[in-house]
Amino acid sequence: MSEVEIFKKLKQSILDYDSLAAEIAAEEALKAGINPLDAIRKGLYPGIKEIADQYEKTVYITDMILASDAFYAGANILKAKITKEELEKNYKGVAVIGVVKGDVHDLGKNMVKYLFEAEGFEVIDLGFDVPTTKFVDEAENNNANLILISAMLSSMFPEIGKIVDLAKKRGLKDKGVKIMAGGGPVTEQVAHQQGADGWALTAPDAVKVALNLIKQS
Amino acid sequence: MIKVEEIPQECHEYMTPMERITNVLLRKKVDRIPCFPFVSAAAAQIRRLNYGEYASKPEMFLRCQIEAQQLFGYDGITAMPDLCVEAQAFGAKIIFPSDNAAYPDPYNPVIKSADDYKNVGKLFEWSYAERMNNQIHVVKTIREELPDVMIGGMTIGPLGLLSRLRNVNDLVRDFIHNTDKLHEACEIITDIQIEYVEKQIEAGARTIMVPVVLAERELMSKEMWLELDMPYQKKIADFVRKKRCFYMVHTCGRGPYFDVLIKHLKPVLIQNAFLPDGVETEEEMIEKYGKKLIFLGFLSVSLLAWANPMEVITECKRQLDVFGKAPAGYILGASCEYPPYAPLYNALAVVKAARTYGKNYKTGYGPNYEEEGCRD
Repeated sequence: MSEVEIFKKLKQSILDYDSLAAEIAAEEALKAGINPLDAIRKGLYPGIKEIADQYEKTVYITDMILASDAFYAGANILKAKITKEELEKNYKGVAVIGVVKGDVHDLGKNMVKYLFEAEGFEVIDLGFDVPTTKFVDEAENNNANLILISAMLSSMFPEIGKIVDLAKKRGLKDKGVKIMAGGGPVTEQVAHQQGADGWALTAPDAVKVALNLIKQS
Repeated sequence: MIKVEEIPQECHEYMTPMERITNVLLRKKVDRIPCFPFVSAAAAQIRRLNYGEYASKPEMFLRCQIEAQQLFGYDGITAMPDLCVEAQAFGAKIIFPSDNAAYPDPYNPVIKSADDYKNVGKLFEWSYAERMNNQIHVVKTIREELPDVMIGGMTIGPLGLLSRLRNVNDLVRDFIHNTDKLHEACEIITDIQIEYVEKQIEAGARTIMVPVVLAERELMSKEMWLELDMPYQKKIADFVRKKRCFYMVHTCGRGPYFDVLIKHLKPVLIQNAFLPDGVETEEEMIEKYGKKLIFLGFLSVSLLAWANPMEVITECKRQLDVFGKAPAGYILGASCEYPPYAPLYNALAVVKAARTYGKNYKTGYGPNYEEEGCRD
């Protein structure tokens, strides 16, 4: 099977939400001597990107979760074979991501995480119900470029502001760390009111905004 | 900078909240447009309680609800301390943070695997349903102490409840991989929720508000909602109507599916935070759906949280101009629960706006209907 055919197979496994097919295609890629990073970038990533680009049109959260299950099934096999040098070539930076304290809705956060990882970010996933200090501590400890805050409940909006304030106090903003906020009810206005540098409506947009913010810093 | 004109004098109120809302539903003229800022957890501020105290002490919760309505004079109360009332009755461990709404312990979900769905009925027992029983008591007491106020009951629907009993990511996977097991659980839960609704109605609730947040473009397709959620929501809706109670729905995500909600659930009123699926403007929303149901809202929670009262009044006035003439009616209010951290003076601003700019309201005609018709 040619390289192009294997890339197609990887992509199709994501579009079909077929974790087993993704694993088989990933093994085939390795057997064929394809660079594992290329297999992710040219095979799996276009699949998850195509799904994410259709979000709220023909694709919903359910699809995103199933597609990401397939993505990780393939990516985990491929990632294990990526050399440190190759990882560094594609490296875009470190992003700390989490859902604010008091909020356990992490579907949106996970969607963003998948795309950031696929794009070449090292993502430190703090999960949900994350205390304010943890966002900032982890950003500090991991020399993060980005803090990505997710909030799905309007009652939790002030938590975004608290993280921004603490990041400022600890000097992270001066060091160029950019903060983005998003999640169902978080509008651009809310994100900026709370002091975030960026906001995006969808996960693919979040990647674009993040890359722009990093360029500026 | 928003320019605020001089605020006119408030109207003389000659109707009770109950008469006001009922007349809007009957398309009769009212002294002023009804308003519903949806003050629930925010009422804790009345007695300077933290959320934890407020949500875990039903008597305190009750006093706050009653005193907030008496102080501000809004027309309806849907008293629910948080969205975990029903989850407690199914064995979820509820966490009551001091500065946030209560939530189920995310690290220890009640339903750990899809095989647990069939046993969900065994988890429930009315005698252990402390928070549900408290809510019934709350409805009953408010009804007794504020007989003229429209008191509403609530249930979060079967999938809403399951999202508090099971890890949400796993629940979403079950939407695809374990639909039969999920349906089995929904059947069982719906019957319990109908019983809960019935008890609230018997206690005095005149409206039942049900969040239908899965019927939104950002969460699932219409087809999936029709298959997974609609049949059970419809059962609840039909029951509420059978009991001669007003059935209302709440959505708060992007692109709610008004078309299928109206077609299958037939709510008398809808509260939404974002424009419906396939609709670009507020005017289009009125054009497309304004004849079919009453709109409630559309004051954003960020406005209520961070704007000043004059800005809130200005926005209320704008919304009265836009939605006031919606053919089936309009109730001025918040698009979602009044943010618990928002200052309560903005709830007062909403009521003030209704009293000043919503005078002599009639469904389909808007405020200032037959100016001379005011009784004073």
